[in-house]
Amino acid sequence: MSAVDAAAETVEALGESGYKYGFVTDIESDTAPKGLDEEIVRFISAKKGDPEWLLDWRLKAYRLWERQQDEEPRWAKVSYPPIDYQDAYYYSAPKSVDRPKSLEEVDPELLATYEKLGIPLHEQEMLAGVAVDAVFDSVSVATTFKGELEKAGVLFCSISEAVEKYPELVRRYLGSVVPYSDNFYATLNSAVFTDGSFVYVPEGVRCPMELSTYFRINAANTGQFERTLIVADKGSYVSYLEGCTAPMRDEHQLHAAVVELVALDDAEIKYSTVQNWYPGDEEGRGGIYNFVTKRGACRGSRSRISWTQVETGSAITWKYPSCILQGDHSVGEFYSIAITNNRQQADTGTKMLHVGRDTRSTIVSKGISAGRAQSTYRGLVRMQGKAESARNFTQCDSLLIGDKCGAHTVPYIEVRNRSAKVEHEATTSKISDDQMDYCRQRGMSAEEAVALIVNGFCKEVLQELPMEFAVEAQKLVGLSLEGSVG
Amino acid sequence: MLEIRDLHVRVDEREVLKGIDLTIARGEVHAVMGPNGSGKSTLAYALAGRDGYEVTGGTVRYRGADLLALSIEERAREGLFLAFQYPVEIPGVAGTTFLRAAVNARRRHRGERELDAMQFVKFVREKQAELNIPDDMLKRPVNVGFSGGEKKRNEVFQMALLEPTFAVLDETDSGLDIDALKMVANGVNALREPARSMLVITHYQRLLDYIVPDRVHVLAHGRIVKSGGRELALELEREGYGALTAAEAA
Amino acid sequence: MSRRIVAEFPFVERFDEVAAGLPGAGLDWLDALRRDSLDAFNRVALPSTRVEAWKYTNLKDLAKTPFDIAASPEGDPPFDLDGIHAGGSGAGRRLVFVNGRFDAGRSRTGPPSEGLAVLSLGEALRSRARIVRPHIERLSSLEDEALLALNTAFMMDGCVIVAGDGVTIDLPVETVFVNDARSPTSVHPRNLVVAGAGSRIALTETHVGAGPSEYWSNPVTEIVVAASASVVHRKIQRESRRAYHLANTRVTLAERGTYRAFLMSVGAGLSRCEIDATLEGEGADCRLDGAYLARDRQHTDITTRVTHAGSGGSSRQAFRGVLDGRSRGVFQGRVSVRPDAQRTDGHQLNKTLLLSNDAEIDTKPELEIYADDVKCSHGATAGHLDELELLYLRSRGLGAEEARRVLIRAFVAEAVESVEDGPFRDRLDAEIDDWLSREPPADAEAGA
Repeated sequence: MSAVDAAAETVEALGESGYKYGFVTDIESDTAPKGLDEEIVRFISAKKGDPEWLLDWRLKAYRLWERQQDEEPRWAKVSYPPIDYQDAYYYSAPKSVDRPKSLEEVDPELLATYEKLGIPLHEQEMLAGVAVDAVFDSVSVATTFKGELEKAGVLFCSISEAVEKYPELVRRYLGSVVPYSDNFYATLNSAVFTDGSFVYVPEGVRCPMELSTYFRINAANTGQFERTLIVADKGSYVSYLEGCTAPMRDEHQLHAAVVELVALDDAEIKYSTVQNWYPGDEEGRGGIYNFVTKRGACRGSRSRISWTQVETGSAITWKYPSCILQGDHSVGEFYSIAITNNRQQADTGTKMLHVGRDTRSTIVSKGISAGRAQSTYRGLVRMQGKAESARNFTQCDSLLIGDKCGAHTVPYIEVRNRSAKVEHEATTSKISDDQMDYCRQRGMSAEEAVALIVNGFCKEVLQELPMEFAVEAQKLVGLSLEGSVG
Repeated sequence: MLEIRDLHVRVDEREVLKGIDLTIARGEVHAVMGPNGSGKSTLAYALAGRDGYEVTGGTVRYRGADLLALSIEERAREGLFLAFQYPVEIPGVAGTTFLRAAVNARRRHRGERELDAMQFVKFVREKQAELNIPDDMLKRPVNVGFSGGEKKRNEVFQMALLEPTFAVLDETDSGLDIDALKMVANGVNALREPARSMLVITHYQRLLDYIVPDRVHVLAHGRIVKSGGRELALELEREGYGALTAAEAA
Repeated sequence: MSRRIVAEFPFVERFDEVAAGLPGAGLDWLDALRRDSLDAFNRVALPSTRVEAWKYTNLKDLAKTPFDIAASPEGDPPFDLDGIHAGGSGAGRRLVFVNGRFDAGRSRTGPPSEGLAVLSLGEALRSRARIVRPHIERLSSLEDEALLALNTAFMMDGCVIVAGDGVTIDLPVETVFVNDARSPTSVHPRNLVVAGAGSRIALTETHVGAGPSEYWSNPVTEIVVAASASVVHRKIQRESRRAYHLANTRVTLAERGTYRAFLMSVGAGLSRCEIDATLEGEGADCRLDGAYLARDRQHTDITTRVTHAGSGGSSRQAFRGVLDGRSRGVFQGRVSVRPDAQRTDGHQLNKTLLLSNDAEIDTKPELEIYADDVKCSHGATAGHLDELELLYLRSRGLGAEEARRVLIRAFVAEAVESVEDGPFRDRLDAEIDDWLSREPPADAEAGA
């Protein structure tokens, strides 16, 4: 069986209704006391064996965050009761895992969990050529394929390992795209981040395989604060995939990750996400608060960063993967599908900051709302004074399924250079009765018809995904909309 | 095969069909003709089971069962096919994806194994040649950017793939030039067989030169006002609908 | 930074004294309303750029200016209407307001006509308070709108048009607001248009400045469109460069009512024209078009909010702007569709031409949709003149500067095309030509 089919079948096999990844894995965890204060930050830092500079950085972030208590962002079109940041655990690690040296050392229960998720590490290792770094709660569990990557000179490991082994690289780039003072959640993340992935692709190297991380929140009341840093040196290329799931729990869980990408001259980074965190039940109980800061810096000339995301999960999504186009002729892309059903809320989009000349950006956003969900596209395109001949094209389409949901589009367009050119188009509509009847007259059920039509609506984005993900994503589109049509 | 008794249908609060009686036997091809607004398309949609076409009286029995009790997709899976007068565009959905979903829905219903992508391609290839459907048309999104002729050919192609027991062709000739008309008619004729019945709805008798019906019915003001052999179509061509429908209205 | 700017305007501090000289002074309900509105203004204060709707328009300089209330001009002000491009040369009714006071001598209210009242607010408060009062009270109940509250507290003269059911006005009613400021002063004109069922009304609004000082114009226009009524509303804002023009237009439409607006914004140092239209009844139709031209350090803001509350409504918006020098344009347009407003059709387009590298456009088109059976869209573009088009024109013998003007002219003309009224379109064309004729030559700028 190919990896593609394996992924597809796993998704398919996961039953009839509701969230498919809602099982809880019974693993002993090593957990810090509840709540957050300077001691917890020091505890986490000690657990990770941080060097002095990193502890200082964390503490600076923590002290800033503490002062900002009243400044949690409120501008997004989402509503939720105030989060009690003292009522969560900031460190939870599977106990048996003390930095595994190889797959064999990984708790078999854990591996079984991944199998259930459709991410069989062994299989992927053998078949798909996908190197996987899996983050379970807060700790990186296993990184496959290390050997082969090392041969190519690609560094791919957990960020904790990177801090230990490549401190100069981490120190140089960590916080250089998303500083610890960037925003409330990024500041929190900087103080308490526990793990995440690190990638460095050296000059001129084309990474020989897709790199991949799967995140999973398992422990109860646990926030997940991973930090990912990807640096593509001159003329290099890397494609990185990220997938996320979490078990069903009645209480909300916070996920406040930070992802930083740096592309130097002529380098290209392609970052794809399929986010399927637990969205909560039909009444909006439980589910992940996904408050994530993702940003890429096209530092070098002709560099390129492409974000592709399929967002089907989470109770609330607050996420704006962005590009700072500093290098002349650099290119930023954002392709997004955001599907919300039941009581989900998503406020997502991007920022394209054109700094250098002849920079280009493309934004394609497809939002689908069903049930009582609210979905917002929020995006900024800014052409700065020196962005000679810069270009942006934006297309935002929203689709409504049912009359209790909402779809909103809030673009900000700021142009300070006359030779720059910006084009923005947005539409909102529903699936037409004609399309539904046409499909049904050919024998499809209403749900099949919706899945088919919505997949068509999302096609421009789906085709940007690597093949392995595209199949999974198409299935997810259908699954996410189950129950949305009578 | 199909037995319509005293069928009344309301659309937007208005009674459009006011008591239709029509029986089509196994293997027969019937034509329903009539002026604009006579209720031809309403008959097609009511048989297909579209929302908004409310049956207020009468019965329709299809292969001995109550057709009206079934949803639109159940009717389709039971072998009822409607070739739409205005085939619908579905952006982003490739023709093959759409067709495979339709074919597999029917196969599931019949308890047959679904076709995977490879098997489906093989299955399609055979039918493609017959209707001169180029690969390109199957790769493009369903009906998007198709010419009028391409859309109608695509409808007949779908009919060939889905192998219906009963097909309703709603003005499949409208908007076609003579070459396209012949191609479509040949496609339909190739599908005529003893186990398959058809209802051909048309405004002009021209189509009936190529698809020769067993019976012709004239629909006016929501009723069938006259039935006969194919010579009735020729008579209409000469006399126009005026005489017939005026007589009925009086 | 706070969400509010606290200002200490002398006229606000002297409220009791100032209010005694304003229209309708002595009417208990109005005195009470003015006082409540003053309290509301003091409570909410002017919005800072931290308020989302004011993100791109900063009132801090306005807040620092010691504005007083505008005084009646002394004697006969030294200007004639034609000389200051005030329009109003048509044969129809004309109401002229100078420094917020009705100028009967320059006005023609026309012969009395059945079912139609065209008069100044001061007169309306004297003779038709019963009709005017509920509208003024309703609008004033909007909380958090500092500028609306301030207008109500200091409401000055304006134009009142009340058309009975089925009444048609053949020629547009022209209103002219002249500001002849000798010291930093503010005016708060208040207009009210009530179009009865099936009536048809057209009005034009012109704002001009004549005096040497900076001033602040804060007009509010309320328009009520009853069932199947039609209102055409055109406005030219050509205040002096030393002016702040902060205008609010509030429109409500009943079933099958139609509202057509055209706004040309060329004047003022800082201007913001807000149009808020609510399509309450089924099948209402709203069209907002306009153009903005700015140069030097001008700041021009057009903010529209169209709310579809009734089903089957349609709205169209098209705004075009040309920005030169160090000017800044802001276009914020929101289309909202409420939960039951099914079968809504809402479209919006904003295009801006940037002529200089120091000019800036900030555009925020917004869709907020809570009903599913809708077709809504918006589009926005910003950019420079097309180099190929320029080249083409020059290859046909036009000079660089002329080619440039032809293209700018053509760009703005597309916005003006929707105006059906010939004489008004001529005025718009004249405004555009006037603006272009003052444009510095292209190479002078390139050398800068």
